[in-house]
Amino acid sequence: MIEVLDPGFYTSIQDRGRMGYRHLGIPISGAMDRKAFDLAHSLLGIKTDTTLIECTLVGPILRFHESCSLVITGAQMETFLNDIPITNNEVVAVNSGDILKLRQALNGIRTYIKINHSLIIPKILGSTSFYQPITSEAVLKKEAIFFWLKSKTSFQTKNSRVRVKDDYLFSDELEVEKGPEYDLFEDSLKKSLTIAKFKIKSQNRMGYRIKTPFNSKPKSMLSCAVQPGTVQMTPSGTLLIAGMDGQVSGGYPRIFQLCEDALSILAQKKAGDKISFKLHDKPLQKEL
Amino acid sequence: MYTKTDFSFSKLGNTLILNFPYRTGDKALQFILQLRTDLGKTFGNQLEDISLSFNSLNLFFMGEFDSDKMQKKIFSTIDNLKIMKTKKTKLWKLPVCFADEFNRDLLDHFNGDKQQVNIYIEQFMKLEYCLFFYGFLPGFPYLSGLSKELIIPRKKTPNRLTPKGSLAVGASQVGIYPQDSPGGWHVIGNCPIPLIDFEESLPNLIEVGDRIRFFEISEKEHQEVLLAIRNKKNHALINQVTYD
Repeated sequence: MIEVLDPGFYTSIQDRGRMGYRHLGIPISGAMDRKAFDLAHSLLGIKTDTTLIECTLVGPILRFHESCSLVITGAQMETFLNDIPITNNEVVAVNSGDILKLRQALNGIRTYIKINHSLIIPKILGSTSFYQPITSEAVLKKEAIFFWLKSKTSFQTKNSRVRVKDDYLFSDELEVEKGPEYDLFEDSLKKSLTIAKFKIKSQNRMGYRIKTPFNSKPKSMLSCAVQPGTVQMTPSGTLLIAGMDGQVSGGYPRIFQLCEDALSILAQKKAGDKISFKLHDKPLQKEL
Repeated sequence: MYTKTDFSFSKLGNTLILNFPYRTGDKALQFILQLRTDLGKTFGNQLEDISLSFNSLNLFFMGEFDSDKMQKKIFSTIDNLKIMKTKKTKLWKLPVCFADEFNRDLLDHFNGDKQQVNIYIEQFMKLEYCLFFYGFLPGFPYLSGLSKELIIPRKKTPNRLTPKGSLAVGASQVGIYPQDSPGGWHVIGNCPIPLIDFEESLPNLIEVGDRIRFFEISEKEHQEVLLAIRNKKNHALINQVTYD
């Protein structure tokens, strides 16, 4: 059992996502940083159960009422187990009564806590991922309690030999593909977008807003499909990059689509950080 | 109706987008809905989901896919498409309140001319709409059927809060906000009845292809319906949300 002593800034339960309901307007949700999500599972040797805890900027303080093993991935936060500092990407044994404290994030903003038991979280439409109003809560609440199944889900009890590659945490270059409306934009604009660096104005699980100094000619279009990593450009030059809780359709032209790794890079950036775009140039739009 | 030459493809990550020109009329929508069903069968569990918009079918593949191969399969699906005898679509009647607080956007759009607002609403209420697809937010219906004269472009800058229940117009599209949300469409009224209640097992699901007409209710009735819904009680007006 886990008791939430302090929920932190924005801590939620996530899994691989809520599949198959986009046609009702329901976003996919799930962990924002898929690289950290995958790493947590492979470090513990878990293949089936995909529920974990996603922490943002400042992590939670948790008291464990049973022993378990856990691993922490993603951004390194100031992390303590009973006031002794611990580091990410190592399997840690936790005893009953231990207090795990995650505080300020140091090199990114999203951190994942994965334990070697299945947390008992109700599945709504096939997923444990928090997303209001589909789930009743958006974030963990103080004094919340989470139980887990007795059987272990993990094959490992010691540090595994999985290679940890988290240099992406330090990257600020987002690899993108051309979006469906790429060709509608002027060449000079497209070129400028892949040269300069841009500051992130705001971010949350729904998406990232990035201000550019450019204007694009307003084109009224019918709303069309948007998915995590889709980059839309508004007439006033704001780039909207959809996150895992992002809306499933949008009305602005889709200039880019982030490649998979770029989504993880972006998920670790906060307001004020700078990013750049690199166009991955292979033909993507085919007229037949 | 559509022929093969109407379709083109785009790609968005692991999503293959099948573009087609938006056409009004039952026949066109029937064709697209049949195509959606057939593509679901063609690709089976290779797909996470298929979603619809006015001018595209979006095939969300579970992972990377061979674009050329999939496009061939799609064309052969189109070649073999037969429209099944369709069941009669339902006509839903939804209450909407046009009290001043719900149509400030419209008043702004007409520079404060109340008479133009009233004419707009009168024209709006005469029309029958069709649920084309859900998108944007959970349970947000995109309705077709707005006449050309009633088109209002999206706001230049979206506002921070469009309230739950807002009946809104974005260019040629009509929608109803299922929850409070930022929004760039012009709000013209408020429908107090949630179209999908995700806590229930989707009881009142208006389906794609169903038709919708609105009837006007007073501010008092609007309040009563909201209260009844909050207290999980019934109300005569809720019972009027019927179809035939």
